[in-house]
Formats: sequence, structure tokens, C-alpha cells
Amino acid sequence: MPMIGQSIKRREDLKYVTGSGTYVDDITLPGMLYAAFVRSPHAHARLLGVDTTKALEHPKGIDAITGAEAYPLAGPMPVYSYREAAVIKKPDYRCLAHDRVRFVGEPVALVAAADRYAAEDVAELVEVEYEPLEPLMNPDESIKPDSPKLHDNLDNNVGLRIERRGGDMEAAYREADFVFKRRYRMHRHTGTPIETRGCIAQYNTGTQELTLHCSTQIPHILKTHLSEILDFPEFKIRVIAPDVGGGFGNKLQVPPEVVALCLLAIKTRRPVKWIETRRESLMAFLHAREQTHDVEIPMKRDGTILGIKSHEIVNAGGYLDARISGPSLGAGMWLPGPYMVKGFHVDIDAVMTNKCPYGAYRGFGSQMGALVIERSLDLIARELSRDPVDLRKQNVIKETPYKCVTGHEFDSGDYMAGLDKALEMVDYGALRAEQARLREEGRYMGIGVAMAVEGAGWNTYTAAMAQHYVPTLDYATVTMRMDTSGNVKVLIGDVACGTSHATTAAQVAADAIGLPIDTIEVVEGDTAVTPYDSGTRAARFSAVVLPAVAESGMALKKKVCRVGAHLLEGAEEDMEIVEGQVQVRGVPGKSLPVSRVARVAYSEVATLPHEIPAGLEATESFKAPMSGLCITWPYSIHIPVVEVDIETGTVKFLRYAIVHDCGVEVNPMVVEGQVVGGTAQGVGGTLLEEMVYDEDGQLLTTSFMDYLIPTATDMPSFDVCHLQTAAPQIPGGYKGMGEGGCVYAYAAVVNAVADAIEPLGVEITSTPLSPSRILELLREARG
Amino acid sequence: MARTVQATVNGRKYYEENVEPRLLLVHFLRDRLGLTGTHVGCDSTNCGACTVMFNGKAVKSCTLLAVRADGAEITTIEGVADEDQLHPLQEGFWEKHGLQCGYCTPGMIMSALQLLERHPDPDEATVRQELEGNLCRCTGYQNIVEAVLWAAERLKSAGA
Ligand code: FES
Ligand code: FES
Repeated sequence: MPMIGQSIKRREDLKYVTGSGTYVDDITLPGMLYAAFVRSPHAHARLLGVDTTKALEHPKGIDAITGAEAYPLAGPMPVYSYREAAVIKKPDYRCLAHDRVRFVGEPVALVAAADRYAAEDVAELVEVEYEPLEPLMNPDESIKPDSPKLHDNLDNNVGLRIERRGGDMEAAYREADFVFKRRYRMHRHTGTPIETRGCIAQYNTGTQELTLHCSTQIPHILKTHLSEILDFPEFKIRVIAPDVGGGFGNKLQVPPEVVALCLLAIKTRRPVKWIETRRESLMAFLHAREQTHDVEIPMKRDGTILGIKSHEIVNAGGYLDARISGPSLGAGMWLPGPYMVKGFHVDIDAVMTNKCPYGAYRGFGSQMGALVIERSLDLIARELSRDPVDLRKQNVIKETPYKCVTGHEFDSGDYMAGLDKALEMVDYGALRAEQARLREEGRYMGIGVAMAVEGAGWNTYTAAMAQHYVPTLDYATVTMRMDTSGNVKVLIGDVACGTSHATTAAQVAADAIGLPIDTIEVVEGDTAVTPYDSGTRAARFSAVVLPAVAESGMALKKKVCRVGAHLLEGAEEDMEIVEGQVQVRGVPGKSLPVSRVARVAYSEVATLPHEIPAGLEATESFKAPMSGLCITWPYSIHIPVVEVDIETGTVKFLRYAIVHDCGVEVNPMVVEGQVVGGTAQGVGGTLLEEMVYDEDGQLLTTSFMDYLIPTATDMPSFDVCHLQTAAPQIPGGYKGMGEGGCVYAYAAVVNAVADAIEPLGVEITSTPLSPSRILELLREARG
Repeated sequence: MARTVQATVNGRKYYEENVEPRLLLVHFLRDRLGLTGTHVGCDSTNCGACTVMFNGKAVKSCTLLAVRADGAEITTIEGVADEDQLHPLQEGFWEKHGLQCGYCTPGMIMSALQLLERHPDPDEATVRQELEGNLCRCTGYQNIVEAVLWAAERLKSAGA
């Protein structure tokens, strides 16, 4: 029975349900010290002096490092750019602030102490002198030419400018009967994995090796960057990602804190552990999403969308994170959605302010693109007195492959059929009737529709910003090693962070080799034993890594068959492996267990002909073809049905239907888990979560008491329908998924809430939609 | 003044000297006893990743001082299975894909243990309500609810 397509139970779960997983804070090394950061209490200030004398007088205060000391030892943090991006000049972003601080929580110094609690005490004794400066919190202000500059080496506060054009925007305007215009504002929120960041850095003076145990999605890429930043030989750095308690793109970061930790480990010659507190994490781990879009959509009266144009402003925070251009472009390039438009035009400015740096979070910005187009469609439908679904059907792409004006080539799938399926799931016609009936009773039910093409396996980085290494996502290399008993280890340079790799990769390997799955084990996360890899990101595991698993499995199978053919005195091409037996096809009885073949290949090598090499190991790479910015194009349709309580402003879900297509599913149970989990994150991000700063730049949401992530009672049950259109260009037909739910939920939920309270004269163009915000909107509408 | 703490954890006797008065129970369990299955996810008693059974009640071990554990009976996730026989809740989480990264899972299971003690035959709404103090960022809770309902069924038929 083939393993691919089976919802088998996860092979990694026994350790988790028994509490024997190993996350970074579960690791203790001999002689280990504990580290704590001294962080800026100011949003913007000149740093006049940092004095660690008192801190080191504390009996448990072992050592410390300041920004001034770190400056000559560690180079700037990396920034990637995209093709066609114009980066003006790069802010000088160091692991510890050395001249100015630019956001609350920015690290200023790092101390090492004998234990966890003492580290906090010692950090508090570090004396820092600041001269507070006026903070710049609003990108609309800081983008102005006469605004004070946040970085002396920049010409102004624009950290990154990207201009993208596609199709014929002029024709779109020429043919338009009217131009729809709006300004949209999306609020700041982020991934908040329940395990915060954490790392143990260790320097061995004898081998001169730097070893890190680090909660990261990118062990190999982190190694390469650390080598650059610290000017340390790459082959002397080993990064081990143990179990990772959630990543969601946030842990793609190259944390400045980890760079500082390495310096302290080298200085103290002892392992140093840093585990971030939640408060630190909310202040200084990456934030995401906050953008505004000034949008114009030239339209025909008959409902034809002709084009889309936007000026996108991203609130980039105090420094540019390596991936700043990703979520910026992710929004802009997703503006046309799955619709046929002629012209496309986006200008993106990522603007420096005194907030936490802005980075990657599940969906990589595409939810903002989806929100802009999907919200606009609803508003246009209202203007034209059309049903919003009808307007979508008129404009949706009818046939794939389809070359979008953005340059993306959507590979496969039937978007219309997906939409019809979702409408059927909620019984759309009946729902509208029900809605009308409820409105008469003074109850406000809303139906939100959003559809989007997602894009998996982003691969758009370029070395435009020259001095930094730039990872590329479009290939993967996998090694398979059979041991002397015929069991196989699959070595992958990725890291699972809830993403079930140990199960899905084993399923693919089992089918490729022809072995029972319980003889296969997946090993990830350690750069010393796995092939180079760009990490767990952009939903590339299925689209890129799994095909490499299959290739490598088939190569190993060939080697096993070669030895088997010799032992069975058959022709190599007649060999097959079925259920762990090597056999001659069609000749019953002529077979050997794989374990026997393995034994010969390792320990009876002399009995094999000279041309057959010893051992059983294979390494293969898969290089995925690109179509536009991405490799494959999964898509989805979300229809939430909500009821808004206009007295309390709360939103209750009555239904939530999801149709999605990520190509061939290796394990439908795992796929559904990702879809539902991602959607929940999107719903939370829309309704509950917001990073709130006051005008002095103080972050007001520094705990889970104020930054509200969804609880079990906030979430509905989701109904998921799986379509499986094989990706034509990927062996195996996988499309990659995992970001998806989070991409569509935002637009769908906003549309649902808007649809509910629209009869009360409310127009929604900004988020979040917290109860207080909904009440405010209702008040404004009442006038 | 550092104290000595003597406690029974997962049915075994522990004797620890020099326990700082400010040491939290969760760090005592993790750093002193090496029971790292109990996790830390926040510093404001919101996430529930640190939930353990303390004298028969589910508590967030980041809210208690370790010295309070002197003489106490504690069960952590490491003590939930009966030797190699998983508890139905552990099986349920596995069976129903009630976890992804696994970080919240020990705390969820400990809270669910208490839930099933209080409500042997819970409905979906009860499960959601009772788990409100435990945050999961991966699953959207749907399969966690399924897992608990599955375990309740299992326990019921075992008892019947
Ligand atoms: S760590 Fe105890 S509730 Fe979060
Ligand atoms: S499974 Fe990751 S936090 Fe719950």
C-alpha cells in the first residue's frame, strides 16, 4: 500500500505527548552560564554611556559585553533585497546598540551570570545613560522630506523602495468608466510562537569551533550569516536546531541577540544560554503586518476590473530586518489576487520609525494584498448594486495556467470550481435569505468571501545588496543512509517547527525506496550531519524538499538493487523492492530481505564485483522550476459566517468553510491541521491581536494579558474541503502549503464583519476588528 | 534563606537542598529535577504551558514558589503514562493530531486531565471553556478538542 496520501499518525508525537521532546531550554551543558540582555526603555535616545562595573561586582556576575565592545567584533546584520528593488542606503544595524537606540527593547548590553535568576539581577545593575530624543512613530510623518532622520547614513527615512509595474496600466485607466479609490490600513501584529527565542552558544578553544543550539527555522543559513557577521570560518560553526516550539516565519530571523551571545561565549570560554522572556519577545522579536495602501482600481460599469495600483507604506521599525523586502513585496505582488486584470502598478516604501523591526510572519505579506483586493471587490459590488460573489465570478481567472500581470504564472487548479464548492458548503443562497430575515429582527449576520492564490517557495532574493550572503529557496539536497541492518536515515537540512516533517518525509521515502515506513527515520536540524538547506519557510517543504527526498530514495533503491541483482543473479533492471524484500520482478521466490543486502554491502564487500561500491548511501538534489516569484501556486477560498453583537462589539462565528488545493497531499490529516491552524492565526490577527504603542513609543502590549492570542473559546470549528490538482511542474505533484489559512482568513473575516454591520452605515477599511474598535465604528456611523 | 524541599513527584521521592525562596516551581521541576516536559511560554500566567497536578489540582507551576512544594504530591507530564501504557489523553492527542510543535501539549494534557475529572462526559463547549487557560498557537484548537472528546469516550468505555 503506498504511504503517500495516507493520514497516518505522526511519527514524532510519542516524545511530545510524554514530555520527552527536547527544546533548547531543555538542554544544559557543563559549565553553562545564563545570559540576560539590558534593553532600551526609550523608543529613541542617544546612548551616552554603558557601564558594567557594578554588574560585574555582583558575586554571580561573570562577564558582560556592550555595544561599544561588540562593534569592532561583529559586522552589520544582513539585509536581502529583491530584483528591481531600489535600496537607498542600509541602516547600520548591529547586534547591540552603540550610538543610538531606536526602539523600546533594543538590546544595549549582554551579561552572563551563574544562574537564570542572577542573570536578571546582574543585568539590572548595568548603568546606561541615555539622552532621550523625539520618537518617530508614524510612517506618514517620517516619510516626509523634512522629517528628522533616524539613521545618519540614510538620505531620508525610506529604508527601501520597490517599484513594480505589469501589463498596461495606462490602458486600464483609459478604458475605465470610473476609478475606485480607498486607503486601507492594516495593524501591527506577529506570530508569537509559544516557545520564545532561545539559544546556547559555546566556543571550544581546542577545536576553535562555535556550536549553537538554537530555536531557529534556518540552521544552515544562520551558520552562513554568523560566519559573515563574526568573520568566523563557516566550517567551524555548527548550528543545531533541537525541537522548535513554533516558528511561523518569525524564526527565520537572524537574531542580533544570537550574534551578541556568540561574542559572549567566545569571551567567557563557557557555554552561555539565553532564553527570551515573553515580555522581551513581544518587545523585540519581529513584528509584522503593519502597512497602509492607497489604492486605485480602474473599473468598467459592467463590473470588469481593469487594473490595480497602490502606494504601499510599510512601517519598517527602527532597523531593516533581513527579510524586509519579502513581506513588503508579498503584499504588493498579491494585489491582483486570482482575478484577470490588465494593469498592475505598485510603489512600496518601507519607512523607518521607532518601532520594533518588521519581518517575516506566516503568509509573508500576501494577506495584505488579499485584503486590499477582496475588500475592494465587496465595496465595488455595493457601489454597483451587485452580489459580491457574482462580481468575483465575473473577474476570476477561468483557466490555468494563467500568466498574471505581476509576472506570476499560476500553474494549475480551477478557482471557479473551488468557489462554487465553498458556496455550496455554506449554502450561500439560503444564507443570504437568512441574513435578510435576521436583519429584520435586528440581528447582524455577515458573510465574508475571500479567495486567493497563495504562492509557495518564494525565491526572489538577489545579491543586489552585495555584501551579504543571500539564500535561495528553489532547491533541496537530501541524503539517505542505509545502515547495516537495512534501516534508513533521511538527512534533511530543514527543521520541523510543528510541520510534521518526520512523518511526511518518511512517507515519501518509504514509497520511493519500497521499504516499510517503520524502518525509516528522518533526521533534521543539525548542520554537521545534514546537507545545506535554506530552511523551513515559504511552504517549500512539500514543493521542493519532498521531491528531493523522492529522488534520493530512488537513488538509494538503485544501489540496493544493484547489490541485490548480484546476489540473486538477476539483471539490475529486473529488480524491485517490495515491503522490504529485494526481488526479481515476476519471479516468485527469487528474493532477499533488504537487511541481507545491506549486510553484504557493508561487511562482505570483498564478495562484490569491483564496480559495485561499498556501503549504501545516496545524495540527490532537486531544483525546482520557478514561475514568477514562487515555485507553485496553491489556492483557497474562505467563507466565514459571523454574527456581530452591536451592543458589545463581539464577533461570533456561525460557520467557517474552507476549500483549498495544495496539489497532491502526502498526509491529508497533517494538511488539514496546517490549514486550520493557519486560519486560526489569521482570525486572531484580525480580531484580537495588536501591538499597541503610545505616542512616546512605549509598547503597551508586553504580555499575553494585553496581546491577546486566541483561546479555545475564541475559535470556531472549521469545515475543510480538500481539492487536489497536481502541480504539473513538480514530481509528485505537491504544491506546498502551511501559510495558506493565514493568508485568506484576514480578508475573509474582515469582509464578514463588514457585511454584517454594513446596513448600519459602517465602512471598514482598517484593522484590527476588536470589540472596542467595532463599537467605535458603530458610534462613528451613528454620527 | 535557602530551604530544603522534599516532594513526591510522579510517585518518586525527591530531596533538594538549598532551594532559593524566590525559585518558581516550574524552574525547580525543570532545572533542579530535570523534568523538562513542563514548559514555560509566558511571564504573566496566561499560557498554561507550565501546568502540573499539584496535590490533585491542575495549577500553573509558574505561579507557585518551589518552597511551597515541600511535602507536596506533584504529577508532571512525565508521570501521566502508566509505565509504557499511554494515558487515553496522550493517545487521543496522538490519534487526533492534537499537536503540531508540541510545546503547549504537556500543559494541555495536564489541564485536560483535570477537565475529565470534573466532566467525565464533556461536550465541545465545555472542553473549549475548560481549556481557556491554555494557549496553543499551532492547531487552532480544533483537534485538541477532538482529542479530549476521544479520550473521554475511551475512559468511559473503559469504566463501563
Ligand atoms: S508559563 Fe506558566 S502560564 Fe505561561
Ligand atoms: S502545538 Fe504548538 S503551541 Fe500547541
